Amino acid sequence: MASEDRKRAKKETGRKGRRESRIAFLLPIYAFTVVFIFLPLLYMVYLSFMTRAQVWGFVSTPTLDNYRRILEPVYANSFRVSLRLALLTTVINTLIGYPYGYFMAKLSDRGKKVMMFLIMIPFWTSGLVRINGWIIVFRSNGVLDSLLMGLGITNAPLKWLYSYPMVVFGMVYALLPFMILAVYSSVEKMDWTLIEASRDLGAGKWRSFVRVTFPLTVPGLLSGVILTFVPSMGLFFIAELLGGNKIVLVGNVIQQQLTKGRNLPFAAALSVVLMVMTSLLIALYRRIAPTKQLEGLF
Amino acid sequence: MEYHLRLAGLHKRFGNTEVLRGVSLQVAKGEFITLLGASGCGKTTTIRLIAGLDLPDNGSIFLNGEDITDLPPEKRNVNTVFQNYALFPHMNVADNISYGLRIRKVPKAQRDARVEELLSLVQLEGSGHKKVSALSGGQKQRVAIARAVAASPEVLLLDEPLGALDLKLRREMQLELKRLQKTLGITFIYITHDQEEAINMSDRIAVMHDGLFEQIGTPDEIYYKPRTSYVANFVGSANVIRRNGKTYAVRAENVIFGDLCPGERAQVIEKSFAGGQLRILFKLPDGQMVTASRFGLNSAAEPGDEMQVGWKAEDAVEVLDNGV
Ligand SMILES: Nc1ncnc2c1ncn2[C@@H]1O[C@H](COP(=O)(O)OP(=O)(O)OP(=O)(O)O)[C@@H](O)[C@H]1O
Ligand SMILES: [Mg+2]
Repeated sequence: MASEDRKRAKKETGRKGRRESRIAFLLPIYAFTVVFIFLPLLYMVYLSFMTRAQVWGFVSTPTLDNYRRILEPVYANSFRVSLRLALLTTVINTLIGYPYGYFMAKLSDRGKKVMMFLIMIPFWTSGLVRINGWIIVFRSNGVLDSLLMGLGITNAPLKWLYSYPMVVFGMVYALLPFMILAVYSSVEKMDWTLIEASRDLGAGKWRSFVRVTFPLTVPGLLSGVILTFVPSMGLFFIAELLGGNKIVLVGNVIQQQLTKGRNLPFAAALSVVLMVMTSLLIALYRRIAPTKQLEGLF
Repeated sequence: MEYHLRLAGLHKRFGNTEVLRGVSLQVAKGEFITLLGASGCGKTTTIRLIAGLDLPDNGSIFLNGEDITDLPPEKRNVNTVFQNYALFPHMNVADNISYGLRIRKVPKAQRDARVEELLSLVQLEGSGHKKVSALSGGQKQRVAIARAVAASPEVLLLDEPLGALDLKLRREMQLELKRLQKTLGITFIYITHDQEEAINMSDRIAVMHDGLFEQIGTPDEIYYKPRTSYVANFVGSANVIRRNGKTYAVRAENVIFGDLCPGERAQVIEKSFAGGQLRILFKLPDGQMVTASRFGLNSAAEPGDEMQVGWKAEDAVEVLDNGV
């Protein structure tokens, strides 16, 4: 009896020891998360309720003015514009990215490797540099205009730059790889004997796709949607570089408030609202989405 | 007379290997035919051609006299029970079963009734709402069968449907499948590499070897009158004895031994017990090996002993020698 108790006690300390060592492993991760993610966020929320200082920084006088100011048409509008652009970008990304990722997953192993390489190349240079590359192509009398005029298709420079479609193009260009890779990874995992079973049971190619392949790759598509929608709410430099100052997104407003406006608390309030909005959209989306398991996300 | 299903000289090559080298077969309506053969001999390839999942390089397939060789799978009134079941993971059991009916736009009420009927046929009453992932191997297999017969195909192709099941369940399912086939009256093309299963279930067996049918016949014919040494050896592991330029098959249970029996002096090499039978391996004076089998555990032969070994002349069946 007594020896058994002792044994059990020993086992329990052993288990406790193991638990302690696991905590030791997890501690750095928790610490990192708290120091670099949670605390800055908390600080941002705190900042958003403070009053701006005359020159730079803030004074600790609590106020709701920052949030009230967001309701002013100029700022509220930037949210509307951002949301619309993000939605449009995501829709186009889906329309191009799904078939792209699908057919890529159906290539030979060699073909897949080559495509993967080509998709990854742009990530080796800064996004800013790439956008500037597009400016060289699209600006008045730029590469594209010279080409078109050289071929006699047009006879005057076209004004491509600084337009809404140009910004949409830039956003799609920057975010499309994420959609492609998300779709690709889920199509890649497809068990194609299921399609054979579907055909065997009387469904043609297209119906087999609609009833089997597509539902089974929706998780990948949904991850792609989130991976492109969320960042597209914040990619302010694309709108600035390709849209001139015509298209003002929330990100642009935040940036202006931080630099020219020197209004830290207001920038913080804008960021908080943007964050809450995105989180709400994701939550809503997850609720209506037909699947619980988003590929590799959440 | 025109057969229900007819394969005429099917050839199929993958890369440099010729997997099917002229496969021909005639199947009558409602017949239960088993393709029996070792792993890699081309059984799956054969039924994939019948299903339309692959196209032959040469040869034709006829269903009710109509050439279906080049029809896509969805245009053939032939369904398959796949080796790994291939159930749709995003649908429940009932939706899996009614898939073919939904594709054919059968009204919902009719569909539901059919699903109920099939669920009870495969003894899965009340499981229609279950997720496929929640099923055991045996249950998945039944769902796969129910799904394949739902739209009443003319021919059902079954690729080792019992392969993943344990022995006891296998036996049960063999009986159930046979019963099902009788009830439905559908032509079955059944794949297995288990000779007992083939003998138990089939009207006829097609023994396949290296991309060809070596012999097609009733279980009795295959068992008692093997055409080649391969068939003799593969079905029932008969002894293949080569003598005076001729080759004979002698079943292990027909080998007699003892001090007084006629025959030749042989040495006992090994004794083993398997499948309720004692198997004794003898070495004949000319070096050939012969296995004898007996029911029960006791026998006077011990490794190292020498005794007379022989068989009755009528138990030695002359076969074509194909080196096996
Ligand atoms: N798509 C393919 N590409 C290349 N080789 C293939 C392909 N399908 C089958 N083979 C080859 O063809 C041969 C016959 O294959 P098959 O699947 O028909 O054998 P099987 O008799 O069904 O074997 P098992 O009992 O193992 O299922 C094998 O050597 C296999 O490797
Ligand atoms: Mg096979």
